[in-house]
Parts: sequence; structure tokens; C-alpha cells
Amino acid sequence: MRLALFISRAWCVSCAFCACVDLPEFPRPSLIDRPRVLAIVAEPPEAAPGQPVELSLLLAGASSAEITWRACGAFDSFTGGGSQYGDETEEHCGSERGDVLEPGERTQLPGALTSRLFDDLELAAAILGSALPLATVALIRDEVGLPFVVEATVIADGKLIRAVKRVVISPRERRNTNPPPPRFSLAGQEIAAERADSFRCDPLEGGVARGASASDIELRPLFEGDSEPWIEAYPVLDARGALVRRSERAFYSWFSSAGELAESITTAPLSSQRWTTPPAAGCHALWLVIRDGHGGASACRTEVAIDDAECP
Amino acid sequence: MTMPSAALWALAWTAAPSEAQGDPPPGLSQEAAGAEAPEGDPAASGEPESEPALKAEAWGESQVLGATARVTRPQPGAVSRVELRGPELTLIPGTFGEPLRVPATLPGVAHSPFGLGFFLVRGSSFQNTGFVVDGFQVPLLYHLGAGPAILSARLVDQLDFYPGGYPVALGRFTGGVIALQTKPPPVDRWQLEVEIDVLRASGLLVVPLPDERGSIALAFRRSYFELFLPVITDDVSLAYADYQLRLDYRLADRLRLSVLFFGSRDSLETLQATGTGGTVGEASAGVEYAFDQLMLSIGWEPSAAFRLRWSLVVGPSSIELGRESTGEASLGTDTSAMRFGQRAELVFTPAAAWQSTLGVEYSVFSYDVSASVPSFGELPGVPAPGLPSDVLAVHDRLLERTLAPYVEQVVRPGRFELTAGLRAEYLRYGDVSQWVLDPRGVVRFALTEYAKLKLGSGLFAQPPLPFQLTRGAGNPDLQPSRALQSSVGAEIELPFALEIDTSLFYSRMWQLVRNSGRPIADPEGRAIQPLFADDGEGQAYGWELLLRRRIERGLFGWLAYTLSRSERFLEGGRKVVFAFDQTHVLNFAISYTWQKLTFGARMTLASGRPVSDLVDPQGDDAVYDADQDDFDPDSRGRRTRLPLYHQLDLRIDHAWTLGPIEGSVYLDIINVYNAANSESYRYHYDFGSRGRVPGLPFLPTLGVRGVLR
Repeated sequence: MRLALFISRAWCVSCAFCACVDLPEFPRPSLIDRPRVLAIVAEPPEAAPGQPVELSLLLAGASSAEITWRACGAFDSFTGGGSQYGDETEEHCGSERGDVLEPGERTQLPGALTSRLFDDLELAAAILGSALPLATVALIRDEVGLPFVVEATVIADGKLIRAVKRVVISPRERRNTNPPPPRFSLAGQEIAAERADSFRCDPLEGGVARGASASDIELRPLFEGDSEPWIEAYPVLDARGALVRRSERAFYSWFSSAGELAESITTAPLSSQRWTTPPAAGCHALWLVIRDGHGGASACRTEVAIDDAECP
Repeated sequence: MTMPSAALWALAWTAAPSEAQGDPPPGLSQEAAGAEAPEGDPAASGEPESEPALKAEAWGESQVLGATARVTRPQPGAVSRVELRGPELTLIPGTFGEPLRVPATLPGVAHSPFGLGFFLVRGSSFQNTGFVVDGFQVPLLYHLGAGPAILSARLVDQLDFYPGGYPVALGRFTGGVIALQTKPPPVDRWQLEVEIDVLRASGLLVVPLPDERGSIALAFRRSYFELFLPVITDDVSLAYADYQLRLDYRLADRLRLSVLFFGSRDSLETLQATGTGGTVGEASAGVEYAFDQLMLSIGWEPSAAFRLRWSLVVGPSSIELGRESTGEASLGTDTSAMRFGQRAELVFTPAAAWQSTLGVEYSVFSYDVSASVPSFGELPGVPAPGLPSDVLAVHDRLLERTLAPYVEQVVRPGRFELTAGLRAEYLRYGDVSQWVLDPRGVVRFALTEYAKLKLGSGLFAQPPLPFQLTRGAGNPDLQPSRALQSSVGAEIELPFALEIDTSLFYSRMWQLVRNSGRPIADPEGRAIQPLFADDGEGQAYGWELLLRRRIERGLFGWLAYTLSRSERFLEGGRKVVFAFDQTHVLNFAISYTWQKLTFGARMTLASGRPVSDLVDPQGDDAVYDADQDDFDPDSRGRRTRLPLYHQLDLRIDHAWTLGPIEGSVYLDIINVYNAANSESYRYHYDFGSRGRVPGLPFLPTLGVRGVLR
């Protein structure tokens, strides 16, 4: 799917002149105007066989929600395809597959399950497209680990939402970790998460972050030094089968309940963000999700009082 | 298209090419004015084309302000044949008078998004229909941005459009072929032509050689969008240029030499600002084509029964496709090639009922491929938001060699015409070294004086694209794509200058190169994920109908209809409809000349191509991928089609004379009633709703042309 997407984008370059077309405009994905899953955080994002994994889900725009979980195997079916074949097909957890986990905003992938998934080479082969001998699958598993999928089903305010996340199970001694809790500046105010598992950020000076209505506010991730110090390296098998090391990369996904964010995702070195605040006083929410590009994530939500609004 | 680009087109006007002495006035050629086609004109008689003669008359033939090309599907080596003459090529609405764009209106050709200069022919993909100039493949035939052809129409003698079943003299494509044959300029006078409009300028200079032994022609064209686009937008830059230098020389009475040196440059780039607040940057994407080719040809015709031609081509070409963004790795591919090729062909025609052709084509392509592609297919496969940030850098040098001897025999016993040919092609590239045998045959039977039946079948082979063969990202073991094309049909002449050409066709394709990504084990047991595999299969079948009125009493036109289906096979035998399949394609073109006015209309109707409607009928969002921060619309795509494409184009030409200048003014309107066609769908980020990507809007073009006599 992603390869086809890249090729179609490349094709679009050659159509670019003709494609000075009036494309339809849609609301930005950064606007939270209905129930949305913004993140699933796995702690740790890469687990050893037999190690339990804590899963938590950040839901936005919902007043009430029921969340159920399932750990399953097959994700991308790698059916191939390409431009001559129309769209490719992929599969998520089938309804009859997967192990049911405890419901709620937080749940746990038990250690027994991570151990069993790690040992199930046939399931791993199915994940990789069933074209690999089990010896090759074992080689992949032992060198870089294998991803397994967890799926959350959310019913929020009567709306059905499905979300998936991969958890790598690997025998590596030094496994990857999540980025630290978010820290960012909002119009000069430093906002940070109190705890890693709370999904809540507040101004370090206390109280509620404030901003003026109908103004452009710069949002900027904060970290010590010139770049994200938490960036880690990890091994992968590239398309040629070579074992190479990759470096994580920080992706900042921003969301707001009102106003307009200039970008949906920012990345270094363009990680700053501009938030055009709503035109009237009120209490609004901002969310920031940090991803490391290799399954690691951290996230939080903060309240922003526009003008003289009093926020709880 | 936005209004600024529409305005650009609306401003277009053209002025002042000179014309050969004695030609009919602009817009009032013999044909357009209602006269019968001249006797003995091969294009009119339907006989196989003879070699262009080194005479001024040949240069001036059928010219209507540059309309020197003809579209043919010549017999006997090809199954079908259509001939279109000068006015038919320049007065068709929606082509901006560009003769070489007319094939898009013929049977077998599907609607191409945005009117791009690439063709979807008989259910094959864009890359399966090739462009050939004087027998040698060229990478590009039309400039970007809906531009003109890369060769001056003045230097083009004829255009052969083969929707399939092309003769054994050609190869390397499993779909169709559009073949240009150039012609020598006049040998008896100097000639200077200049054409200027808002978008581009071109010129042609012809210098005769002493004793009318030949001539030298120099043609040049350059766009100057850079003067106008910045007024409208800073986000797009477009430029193209082409040149041709041609020498023709009669070495002896029946021995001719021609040298054609030509080339083309195209550049298209989009640019936009990125980032915000304290961090800003820019992103750009672009494509560049460039090629230069030197073709040398020697023709020896000692008698009417014996013809020998040897030709050579050498020259570089390059295609760059790139994308850059601040803070991200540059992505793109850069393929440069140096090619050397030769072909020799001997045609022996001892009698009208007997023709033997023996030829050989030899080509060497030396490719240098550099690519930086997103590092797809890494394991363990946890995707990041957006495209992969790590790139797979690939650099490879490839040598592709082909040797293709071919033989064709035509016999005409009684009412039959039997053509049998064999092209044996030795292909050597990557890890592949093999012969492919492509037998082809055509049978024609004259049922009556006015009706012919025809039947043809043949095999075709096409080597993979260079990037697909690169070690690292591609797969050097890709086999050549293959196709078996068959068709049966009839040609019927009717009263009132009407004729029908109809065919049923079937094409079976295998070893198609497809995008892969499935991990496989290499001999050492390691998992590798080549981006391409050669296990694609498919088929296409359909019916084509061409009902045409030849030029008579100023009236000509045609109705071209194609009913077809193109499919690709997935694992397990499951069939899916080809991404650009269009069940019905109808083109109706008509033109009528009355005194100094010529009216033309063209209507296009085409079924929408298959797409997945990814909007959930229940209104649920797609599955959210928390690693990619994106929505995945998989598993619920409902196969559907885009709405019917329909478009009416009109054209009015008015001939005028001003002193020594004769010319015409024309109004060419694309999409007269501004049909809201859809070329694709664009989805809301969560696939909860969608909008359409519109096709060409109402697009009027006012033009002026002139000829200095």
C-alpha cells in the first residue's frame, strides 16, 4: 500500500502542471471535533519474550467510551499488487483471530502471551506473507525481532473506532524505549507532563496555560541540547536482507479542539508549530503525541484558556 | 485546472510560419475545400507507403499550416489500418492543432487522465506503448504540460499508430506502438518559418544543397513559461525545448543519405513552503527529461523491386524524478542512458503478389541508475508517520543488449493476402540472457471489392525498465514481459465516402512486472524484499469500431468506439480489473468547411476507471494506525468506478489573407459545457468522506497562424 502510494505520488509529480486543479478541501486532521484515538502507547514498545507490555490509549473528543482489546497476529497480508492491479488489499485482525485482553483505557499484554507469540513461527510466517521458510523467519526473529499487532475497539459517544499498534518482541538485550513525556513551550509558557502514564500536561508555573484569542501562538517542543537526546538506534533487515542500524526520528503530532494548527505533524528541524487560536474566549484542549518512528510514543493533553476564560 | 492556467491557454496565439509555394490557402487545402484526394497519393489510395521522395512536392503535400503528418495503420504486417490526412490531423478540436495528438481519438485508446501524452492502448499500461522515430525507440514523444510533440510536424512524414499486432520490424513493447517516420525537406529553395505564441517560439530553416542533391534543415522550439508562470504562481515551473538538425543528400541516383540529430529537454518542478513558526523550509518535486539522438540512414533502391536501408542511432538520454524537503532525505531516481543501435532492412518485391522483408536490429543501452527511494520493506516492519525517513540508496550500471533478426513474407494468392513474420530477439540484461521468438501473422481476404476480412495474431516481448532491474532495490532476474495479441475484423467501404473498420481483439499478458514487497528467501536463507516481481498476468479483450467519412466536399469525421475489459490476475486465480480499464470509450469527431470557415466538434465519452470507494457506508472511520498516525482504509474498499467521463470540444477556423501573408484565426474550446468530470477521488484523512479530483475545465484557446509567401 505504501509503495503504491509512493509510486502514485511520483506519478503525480509528472501530472503536477495539469494538476493545478481545484482539489477539494477537507478539515485538517489536527482538529478534534469528534471522538478520536490519538495514540496507543506500549510500555515497553519492544518487549522480551515473556515480558508483559502495558498498553494505554489516548482518546480525545469523547465524553464516554468503552474500550476492548485484542492481541492478534496477521496485519499486512503482503498480497502485492501495484499500479497494474488497482489497490492492494490488506487485513487487520480478523474477528475470529487474536487473544482478548482486559478492557479499559489501560490493559496488559501478558508475559505468557508475548512468549507464545515469540515462539509461534508459523504465525510469524503468516504475518510476513507465508512465502518464507521457517528457518528464515527464525533468523529474522532472532536478529531484529517480530512485530505483533494489538487492536483496540472503542465505542465512544456511540461511534465505533478501531485502532491498531505493533509491539515488537525481540530477544535483543538492549531494546528500544519510549520517548520521554512531552515537554513544549506555548507562548513562552513551558508545558510538561507530570507523569509518563498520565497523558496530562500542565504549565510548570502552575495554573492553566493562557493565550489571546485570534492570535498566532508558537508551539515548540523542548528538550535539552540541540536535538532530541532520547533518540535511539535499532537494527533492521533492509530490503536487501542486510542487517543495518537505523536511527529513530522524532515526529510531533499536534491536535487542538479549536483554532487552527498550521501543520498536523512536525519533524526536526521543522518541529515548531503555529496555532491560530479561536476568535473568542473559552477553554480549549491541545494534544501532543511524540513518536520515535519505531513504535515508541508518549503523549499528553493540556488545557488552554483563551483570553479571560476560567478553566477547571 | 485553476483559472490561471486556463487563462494561460486562453491567451495562446500563434503567428507566421511560411509555407511552400503553390500550396492551397490555409484552411482551404484541396481536401478541406472539398476536392478529391490527388490521384496516386499513397495515403489516399491505401497502398503501402513508398519512400519519401526528395522533392519539393513531397514536402508540400497535404500541408495545412503544418499538417504534414498522416496517421496510418498500414497493411500488410499490421492487422488494422486507418489513414487520416492533413486536415483531419489539424482541425480536430481539443488537440490544439497538434497532429501527433490525434491518436488519442482512435479506437483502442482509452481516456488518459488530464490528457497526458501517454497512451493506454488495448488494456495495456502506459509503459507498454512505445514511441518510435524512424525505427528507433525514443523516451518521449510529447512535451510535458500538455505540450506539443518533440519533433516539428514539418519534419514528420507519417505517423503509424499500432494499437497492437504491429509488424515484426518493431519490438520491445507488449502493447501498442506509435511510430513516426520523418521526411526530407525541400531541396529546391531556401525556406524560413517562424512561429511565435505566448507559450513558445519555434523556427525552421531549410537550406538547399547545390544541384538539388539535398538539403539541410534546422528546427528549434523553446517554451518560455518562465515569463508568465511567476505572474500566476511561484509554485510551478515548466520549461521545454527541442531541436532538430537534418541533412538529406542524394549520393547517387538511387542512393540517399540522411542524418537527423535531434533532442529534447523538459523540466517540471513544483515548490512549496514548509514548516512554520521559528522553523521554516521548503519542499520541491520535479521531473526532468533530456535526450539527444543522432540517426544516420542510408537508403539504396536500385530498382522498384529491391530496397535496402541501413540506419544507426547513438545518443544519451536521462530521466530524473526527484523530491526534496527541508529536514528530509532527498528521494528520487536518476536514470541516464547511452544507447547505440543499428538496423538494416532489405525489402524484395519481385511481383505485386510477393514481398519479402529481411532485417536485423541491434541495440545496446548502457544505463546508469541512481536512486534514493524510501526504505520500504524493512523488518521488523514498524512504520513511522509519513514515508520512511531512511532511504535506500541504489547505484547500478546496467548493460542491455538486444539482437533481433526478423523476416516477413507477404504473398497474395487470389483474394488472399498472407503475411507471416518472425522476430527472434536475443535479450541480455541483468541476470537474464535468452532468446525470445515472436512469430506474427496476418491474413486478409477480399470478400468483395468493398469488404475485406482480416485476422492476425502474434507474440510480443518487452524488457523491464532499468530501475526495475537494479541490484539492491530492483530485481535483475526479471524476465521480459510477454503478450499474445490476436484480432479478427473487417474493413468495409460504404457509399457517401463512408468506411467501417471493426475488430475483435484479445491479448493475453504474462511475466508482467509488478510492484512486490513480499519477502522471499535468498539462496542463503536471508529475507529479501525486491520491489518488483515478474509474475504478473493479465488479459484484455474487446471490440473496436471505426466509422469514418473520408474527406469529401469539405466534410470529414469519424466515430470511434471501443468496448473492452482489461484484467489482472492475483494469486489463487482471482481476477481484478486493471486500474485504468474503461469499458466504453467513444470518440466522435466531425469537421465541415464552408467557404473560409471550418467548424469542428469532438465528443468524448468514456467509462470511469475502477477505483476503490473507501468511504464506509456505515459512516465509520477507517482503522487508525497508531504507529503511522494515519488511517488505513483497507479491508473495506468497495470496488466501483469513477463516473462517466464526457467532454465536448469545439473548434472554428477562419482563413484570411493579408498581403503576402495567408493565415487563419481559430478558436479551440475544450470542455465547452464545463463538464464536472472526475479523474480520481481524494479522501478525508479518516476516509469518512471524499471529494473528486476534477478533469480539464472549460478551456478556450484563441489562436492566429500565418504563412509568409
